[in-house]
Amino acid sequence: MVISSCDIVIVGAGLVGASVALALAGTAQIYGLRIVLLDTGSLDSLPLDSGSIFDGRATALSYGSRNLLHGIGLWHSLATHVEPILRIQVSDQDHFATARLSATEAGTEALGYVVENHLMKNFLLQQLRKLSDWIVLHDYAKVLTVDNASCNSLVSYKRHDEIHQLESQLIIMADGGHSELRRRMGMQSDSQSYQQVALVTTVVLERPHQGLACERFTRAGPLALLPLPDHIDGNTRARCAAVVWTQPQQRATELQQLSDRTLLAQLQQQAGYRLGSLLSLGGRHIYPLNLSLAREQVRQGMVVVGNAAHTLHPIAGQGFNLALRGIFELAQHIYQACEKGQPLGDLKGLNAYQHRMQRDQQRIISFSDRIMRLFSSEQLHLSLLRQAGLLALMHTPFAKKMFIRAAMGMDTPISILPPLPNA
Amino acid sequence: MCYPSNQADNPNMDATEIAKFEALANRWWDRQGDFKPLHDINPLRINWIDERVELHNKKVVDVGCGGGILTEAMAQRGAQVTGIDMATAPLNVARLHGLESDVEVDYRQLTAEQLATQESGQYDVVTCLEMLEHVPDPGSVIQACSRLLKPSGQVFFATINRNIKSWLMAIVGAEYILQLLPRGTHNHDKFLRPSELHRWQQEAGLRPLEITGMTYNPITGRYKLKPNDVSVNYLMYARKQQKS
Repeated sequence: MVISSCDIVIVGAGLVGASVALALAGTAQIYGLRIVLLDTGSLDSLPLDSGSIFDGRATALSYGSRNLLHGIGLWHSLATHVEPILRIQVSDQDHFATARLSATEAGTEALGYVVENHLMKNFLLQQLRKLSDWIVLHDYAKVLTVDNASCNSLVSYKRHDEIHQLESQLIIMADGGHSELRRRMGMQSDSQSYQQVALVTTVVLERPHQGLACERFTRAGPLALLPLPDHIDGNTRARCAAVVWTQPQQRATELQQLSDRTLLAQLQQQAGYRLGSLLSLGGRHIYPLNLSLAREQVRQGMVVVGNAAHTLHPIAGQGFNLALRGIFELAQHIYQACEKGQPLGDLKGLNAYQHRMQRDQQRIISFSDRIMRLFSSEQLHLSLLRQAGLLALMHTPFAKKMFIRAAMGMDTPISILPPLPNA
Repeated sequence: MCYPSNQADNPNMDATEIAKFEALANRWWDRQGDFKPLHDINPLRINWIDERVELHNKKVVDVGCGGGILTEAMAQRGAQVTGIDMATAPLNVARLHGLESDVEVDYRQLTAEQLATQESGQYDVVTCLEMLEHVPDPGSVIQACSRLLKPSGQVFFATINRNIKSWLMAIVGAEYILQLLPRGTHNHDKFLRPSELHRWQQEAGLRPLEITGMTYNPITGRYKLKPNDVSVNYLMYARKQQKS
């Protein structure tokens, strides 16, 4: 058994866990904190320019998220891997109304940004590797038990057939939505299925997308096409868009089995030609859509973040942005606790953090949920409401502004975190 | 029902109250069932307690533990917990569920008064939540809780206030209109005013430190801790005085 200690343990080094570590790096430098990041898988980063990886999943970062990352000096280097959304078209398959939103109207450089998950993860890991004075990465580490208390929380984990015990002030659980560990700790979440699946893939476009994102309400379910950075492989350049298509659960198997050609034809038919012809498809991911919210997100010496705390419907693209706001709020709480010399795991402080987050979570959950119900329905009154909504959005500057503000995460508070040590 | 022979002839319990909970035992861990309100408020109350005493490594007794909802949650936070209750079936449910959840709790069938004669002055923390309104002599339970505590040990009580509003909310609202609880769960005459609880605590050598209310919003279905609204459900926190 190997026994060691640090200040903060982060369980899970996905987008959320890695972002937590980076948000804390500046504080770690100032106050000499030691952070250990554990993940069950590999943490080797692949070269960032590998255009051949085509795994499909992408994340929409709101303008508010951009500001948070900018605040810690991370945006500048991430910006080369993201594609700005310059215009959004919201339309309905069977009706004439189309709402158009543009960055020019919003007065910002972009309405949001799209980044492929594997590129973002690689990028975050590369940044973390430069911070090894404060942040240690342990790959292939399987957490066995968590024993939390405000001063000496204990994580035991297995790595290369050896049991490690790690003592810390605070354990941050960022191990995703399906954690056996949390279930064993008795941390319940309220969860409901939308009876829908999301088909997630990438398409290659015939012509440049010019920063256009399309959200289209098809009879099968809402379909989003988001602009991605071009994939460059040698001399060839592929222009790409990320696809998120919500469909009824019954279609899951069918979607999995359709040939690329048939699926591509269906997509083309539903999406129309706003983005030109769709040439080919990347890897397909189909996953069930749930709404879940953890009943408990803090305990003494422990806090739960990201999908482990909440999962949303992807329709409004708010999940990761909500997670990021939570992460920065938590990092700020930790920074302030360090400033005042308080223990990081003190439940009183963590409760106050959770209280602040709860409002945001409720607001975003009902925002996403309302949009989903409105746009997944074939019922006449909802369909009419949707038309009216699109028309209002088109013709009412105030409605447009409010919608843009909500979707862009413009209410994201400004963070006062210290920047990354090397920024 | 039979009780161990070494217990006092006249334990502080109400047979009809016990029978009520015996009958509901199998539904104790159904989060959407008869005990849903208890599951819903559990994260709130356990956090309130943990924030004040830090349960980790503390020796705790949960008086009136029922099916073990609070008891297990305290064990999961690293406390060494004993759960006591007088109803057989809920205790069995608690033991079984404890195996399933892989938590260690020592469940025993006896009254607080009986435990206090056996293990006086041995506990860091005593919790007695949603229980006082179900016994004939709440003052005696409070005395026993105090005796169970080590010097400076801490105790938590939660119960329901007795006034028109609590009758409307806790009985008419919760049992009849919203049907959050089975009918007959509560008897309004047994509800306790904070002032009564306060006086009993002082008589038992406990110094009340803090009180908070708990409110339910029927529209959102959410519970909240509200420090200045103790008109219906409330929690009280006290410390044992050095000389008692």
